[in-house]
Amino acid sequence: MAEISFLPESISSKNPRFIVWWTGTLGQAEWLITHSSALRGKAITKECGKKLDELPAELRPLAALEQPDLIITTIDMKPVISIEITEQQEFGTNAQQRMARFWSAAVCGVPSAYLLPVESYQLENASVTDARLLEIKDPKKRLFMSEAATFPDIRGESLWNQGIDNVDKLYSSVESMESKTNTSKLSNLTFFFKKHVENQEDVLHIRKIDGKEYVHKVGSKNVKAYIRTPKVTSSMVLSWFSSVSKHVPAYPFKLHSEYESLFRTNGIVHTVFDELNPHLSFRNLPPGPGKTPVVHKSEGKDEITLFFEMINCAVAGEEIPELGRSEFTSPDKYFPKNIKQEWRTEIKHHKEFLISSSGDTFAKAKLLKLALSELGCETDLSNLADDFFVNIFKIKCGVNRQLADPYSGCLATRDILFCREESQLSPEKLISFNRTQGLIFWAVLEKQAAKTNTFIFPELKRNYLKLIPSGKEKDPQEQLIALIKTVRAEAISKSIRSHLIFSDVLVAQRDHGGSKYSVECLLGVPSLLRSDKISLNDPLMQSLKI
Amino acid sequence: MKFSEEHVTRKLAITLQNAGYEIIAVHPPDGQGPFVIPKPPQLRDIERSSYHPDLVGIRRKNDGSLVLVIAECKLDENDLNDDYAKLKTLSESRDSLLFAFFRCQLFEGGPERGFDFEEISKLETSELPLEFYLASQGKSTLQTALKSLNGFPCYKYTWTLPDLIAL
Repeated sequence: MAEISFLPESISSKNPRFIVWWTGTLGQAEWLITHSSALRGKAITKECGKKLDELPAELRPLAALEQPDLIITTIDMKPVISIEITEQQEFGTNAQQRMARFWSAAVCGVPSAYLLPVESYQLENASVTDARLLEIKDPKKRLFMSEAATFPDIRGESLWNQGIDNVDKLYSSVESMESKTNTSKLSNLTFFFKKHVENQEDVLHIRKIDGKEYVHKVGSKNVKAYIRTPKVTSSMVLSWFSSVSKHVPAYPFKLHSEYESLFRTNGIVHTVFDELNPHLSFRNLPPGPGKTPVVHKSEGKDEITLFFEMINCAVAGEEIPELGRSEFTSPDKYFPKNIKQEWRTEIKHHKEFLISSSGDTFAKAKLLKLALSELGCETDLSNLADDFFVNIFKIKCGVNRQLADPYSGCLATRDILFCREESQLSPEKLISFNRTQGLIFWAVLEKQAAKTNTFIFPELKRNYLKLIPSGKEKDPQEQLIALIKTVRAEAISKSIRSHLIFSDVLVAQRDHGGSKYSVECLLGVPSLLRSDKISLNDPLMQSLKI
Repeated sequence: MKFSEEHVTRKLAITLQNAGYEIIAVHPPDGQGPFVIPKPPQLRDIERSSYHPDLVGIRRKNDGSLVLVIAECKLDENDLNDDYAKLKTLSESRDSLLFAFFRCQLFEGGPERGFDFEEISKLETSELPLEFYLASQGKSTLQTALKSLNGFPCYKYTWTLPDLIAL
């Protein structure tokens, strides 16, 4: 069946040298070809099937954990670059959802690019407190209070009572508030003010929302508009790219948000009508090069132009310049310089494991072993030396849902940021999992999930019986080893695939209520490699690299 | 050549733009939609909690007033029944409709064309300046009026294959 194409003859190619494989939308692939001088007239598009076996074998390692939006290859299937485009600013753990795809590119030594809104406007239901702003009768006070509410850590009522009663006074008072506010809160406020009000720094940030647009009554609902600034999880994503890029270029690019489109599209700029390239009109595509302001002033070019410079270099086989990407992780440009301290907290007593909430902790393996033993885990964890530090990524789940997204990406993020030193990030060392620290995926299954969620033993057994029908193993650990020695990574269901690959230990803790627990504990790929139960020559490990 | 729903959506967008409409958002098949309208709470929580119309635009009437246009597209005309039902459900939710107008409002620093949302909010649901469009490939190139949706005009655009190709 012929591929659909909107490309005009002047841009498409009858003798292509490159293929743009797409799983997102055809429009994205054609946008890429149109604006890349290295692809224009030299490339065609092909849709990646939903099933990985429809993808040429040479490309499967790039999609072994998850399928990227776009992959550019030469006509003879040599991967050139892997690309993700997302216009929704992720929040919380979702910020890391796509990172397993970039991990695969890094392992394969293939450059990757991520076009995303690093900061954006959001619309959501207003809180009761925010909605009360609409009830203030005095219009002057309502406007002032709404303006104050658009800043972090400002108490509008308190300022109003001090006689600060208009926006000008509010702005001039922000920097003089240092002595009246505790240090951490001031830093948060000052940070916001410098970025989104003054906006005179090296990096162009999106402007603050006017107070009068902060809360609106929409029918029976109250809706608030606000800036979603990058937080801890986004700082991890941008740091991930910075670390990996020391070996293989993996670059984020900031998708621009404009105030004019605050309500229409949450600020995200699109190509609506493109007079020069009408085939790109009305396809919800990112803007073309040169259409949005310069974000990183030292580079002097807009992000889309820089994105295509990376694409062109990769396609031409040239060395990819840094393109100012270090700006994303420069202290105080997007994040306070000490944000890494918020990535994880240390556990100093094994009992803390049992009461800790979702999130990231780290501890000596000795404490982990004590905690798991207390829960009744009988798995032999002796290959984790007592003083080996392990990072625990704990999630809580109360419903019967698959634990694939966003956790596969979260684990790929932690593999790079928490478990390895810079020298361990080369493609060959990534795959060997010879890490400085360990990684534990710990799922606490509560309520309905405690009874019905199949993570981890039931799902592993289902995979084992499906993929090795003649298999006789009853022990889950042996089932996993057999799978690693028999099948490719992409054959294993996504709900456990990345978890098995990145985690030294996988834990499913079922909370049956009344302090009654049962626990399933499984050694993952890094532990099994360390104890020589599996090797890098096994089919699953081989399937991860080109 | 193979055709897709995207041919229809783009054909409708071009047709409307040529007729003076402002196209605000287009949602390609399988893509992310920038123009999201929350649905009322669902009885079955597996249903999508928001509408992602294939196309949203604004039409200026002869008297200068504006009409919001929400459209759904399918490649096959027979598949439009589901979209008609989807739009009917949308037309019955005042909150969802108001949210669509809210997105298209005028505000300081905002777009040149848009609705005075405060005034729109005062209108009865049936008075909202709103039209629904359905579009597909068809046996003939036509614009026909369908039965109104909760009192809102609803039109169907179809194009023959040759006309559809002529984007």
